[in-house]
Amino acid sequence: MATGKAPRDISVVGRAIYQERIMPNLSPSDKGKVIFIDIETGGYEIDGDECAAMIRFMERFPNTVGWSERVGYPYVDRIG
Amino acid sequence: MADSYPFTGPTISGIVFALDDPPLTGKPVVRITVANPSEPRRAITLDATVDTGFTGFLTLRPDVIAQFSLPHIINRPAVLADGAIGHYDVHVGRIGWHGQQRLVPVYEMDSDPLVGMALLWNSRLTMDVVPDGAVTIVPMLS
Repeated sequence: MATGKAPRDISVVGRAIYQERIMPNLSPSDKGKVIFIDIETGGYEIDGDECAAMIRFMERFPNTVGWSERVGYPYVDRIG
Repeated sequence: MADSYPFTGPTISGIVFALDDPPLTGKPVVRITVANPSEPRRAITLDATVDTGFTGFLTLRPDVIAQFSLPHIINRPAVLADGAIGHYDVHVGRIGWHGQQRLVPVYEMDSDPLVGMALLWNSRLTMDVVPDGAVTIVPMLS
C-alpha cells in the first residue's frame, strides 16, 4: 500500500476530508456522483461517470491509495 | 488460465448454472476476460455470476487480484444484503466488454466473481431460467 496507512486510517482520514473540506463545496446536483479522494493532499475527482473520475484520479495521484464516497449516501455500492 | 488476445466480442454469453439436483434454482454465469491495466496482453478468462443486486462493476477474488497485480487505488464503504456497511479494497482492472476494453473498479471479495449493474448499464440482459439456459448480454443502441 503506497500510502503506508492502514485501511482504518484511510477511512478515518478520508471521511474527515470528505465531510469537513469537500462536502461544504458540493451542491444538490452532485448527489449520486462518486468521489475519489487523495488523503495526502485532499485533492479529489468527482463525476457522475464513476470510471471517468477513477481514471482522472489515477492520472493525478498515481501510486496512492485513496478514499471514495458516493455523495448523499453512506456507502458507494450495494453488494448482494 | 492466462490468455492473450482477443478479449470478448460484442456479446457476452453464458449459462444458467443449476445449483442442486433436482435443479430448483441456480445462478447466471458469464465468461469475461480481465487483465492488469498496464499489461492488456496478459489476461485471464473466468466465469462470473451476474448479480443484479450488486450496484458496482465487478468483484474478484484476492488470489486473482494478486496474480495479475491489479493496482489498489482506494478503500470505500459498501453495504451488504444484511444492511452491514463494511470498508472494502477497490482495485482497477481492464475488462473486455462488448468488444472493447474498459478500465473499471474491482472490489476485492472472497466470493465467486460478480458482474454488477454498473457494468450491465446500457446493455440488454436475457436469460432462460432453466438448467443450462442461455444467458446473453448485448449492448443497447444509444
